[in-house]
Amino acid sequence: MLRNNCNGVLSINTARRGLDSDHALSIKSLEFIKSTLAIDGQVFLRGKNMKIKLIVTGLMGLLVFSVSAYAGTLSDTIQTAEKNGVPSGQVSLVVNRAKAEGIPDAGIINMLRTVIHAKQDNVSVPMITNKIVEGLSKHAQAERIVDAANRLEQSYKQAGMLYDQIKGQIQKGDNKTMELKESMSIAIFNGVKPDQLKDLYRAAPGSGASYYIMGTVSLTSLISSGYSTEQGISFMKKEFSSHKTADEIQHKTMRLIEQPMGSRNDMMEREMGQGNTMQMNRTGIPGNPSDRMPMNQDMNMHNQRN
Amino acid sequence: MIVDCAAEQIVPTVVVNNNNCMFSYRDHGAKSVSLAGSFNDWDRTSMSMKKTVNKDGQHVWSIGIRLPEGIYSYKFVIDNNVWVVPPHADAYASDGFGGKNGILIVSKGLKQVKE
Repeated sequence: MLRNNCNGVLSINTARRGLDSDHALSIKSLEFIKSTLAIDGQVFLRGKNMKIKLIVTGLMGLLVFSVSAYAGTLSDTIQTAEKNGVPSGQVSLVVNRAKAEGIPDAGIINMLRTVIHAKQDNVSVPMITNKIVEGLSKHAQAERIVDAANRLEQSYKQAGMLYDQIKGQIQKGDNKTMELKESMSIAIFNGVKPDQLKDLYRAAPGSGASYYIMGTVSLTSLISSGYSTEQGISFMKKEFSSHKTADEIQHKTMRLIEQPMGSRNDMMEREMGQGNTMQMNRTGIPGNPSDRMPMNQDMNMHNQRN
Repeated sequence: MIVDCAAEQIVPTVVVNNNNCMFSYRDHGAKSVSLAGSFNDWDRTSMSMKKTVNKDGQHVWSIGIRLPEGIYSYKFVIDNNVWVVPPHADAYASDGFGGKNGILIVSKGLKQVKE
């Protein structure tokens, strides 16, 4: 509360009823008496220049009010969420699950802020709340949950921008915009840069959204299973430019993932080499791209070569 | 304590037929297995899987649910506290909490949905 008691004393009381302890400010009162600035009863500034002190006091008061208003209570944050258009069902889902997991109010407030932020940024609220309840269910730390939700929100925003850039090259009639955006956001969340995805999609221009979706989730599989982003991108580009079907891409990816750690690099190198050989063979064989060998023959032939 | 581990399994993890998804998981030591994922708000208890013993004496836990087209993340939960990465998922992705989720794609444009 800001008070001017008309006798030269300007005081700011930051103590606020119901303020969460984690967000309570250590400054309880700020008083300006004649030429002395006191914080919590202790002299903080003493000097002659009244204007400078007034400015300092004003700035500090502004800071105190900003932080205090930003902190708020859980009920304030719930109200803010609903005022911002976050469905009450999504709010109560987060609050109830977080309370059931024993998360303190401060942690729940931070979680709700990510949801509010997502809503303000036109990012799917259920997607963010789903990540939050996932973390809660897995007993992740509150800070980690908030971090994951924020990263997912950023990933989804970047995926939306990427989609706008590449939508012109997607074959029409395959209406899977949401799924494609989601697959892209999962990939970005797993550390793939939007430019890397854009570059990858250039290897298969004019494909259907389903094809891009499978390529994108397969790339994510490789990365989340220990392959580097560069290895994953190179492999997937090769698959795209070799006109492999979505099924083939998925099967090959699974084979790579199921390799023991020690033999993965060899397997990846063989896959890359095989792709080059296949491309060379195909240049000498008239016919269409769908005229491909079944996967098992492909592998047998590959093994014989090595 | 939550443990994140991959488990051995040969049977397919999910078979999708016209949006009906049959999840299966083989585990001999489990007292209970449930399915948790983005489709049930990661609830550890709401989708309990049913145990059957196949002709080879193996304990196969399964549950069938209907899902609209989309991309879903999921895991199995053993005895309500051990999170297991699905052995043969369509794809995988890091969950942001130090673990990995199975990814299920339900889409008519891909092989998972049999027309």
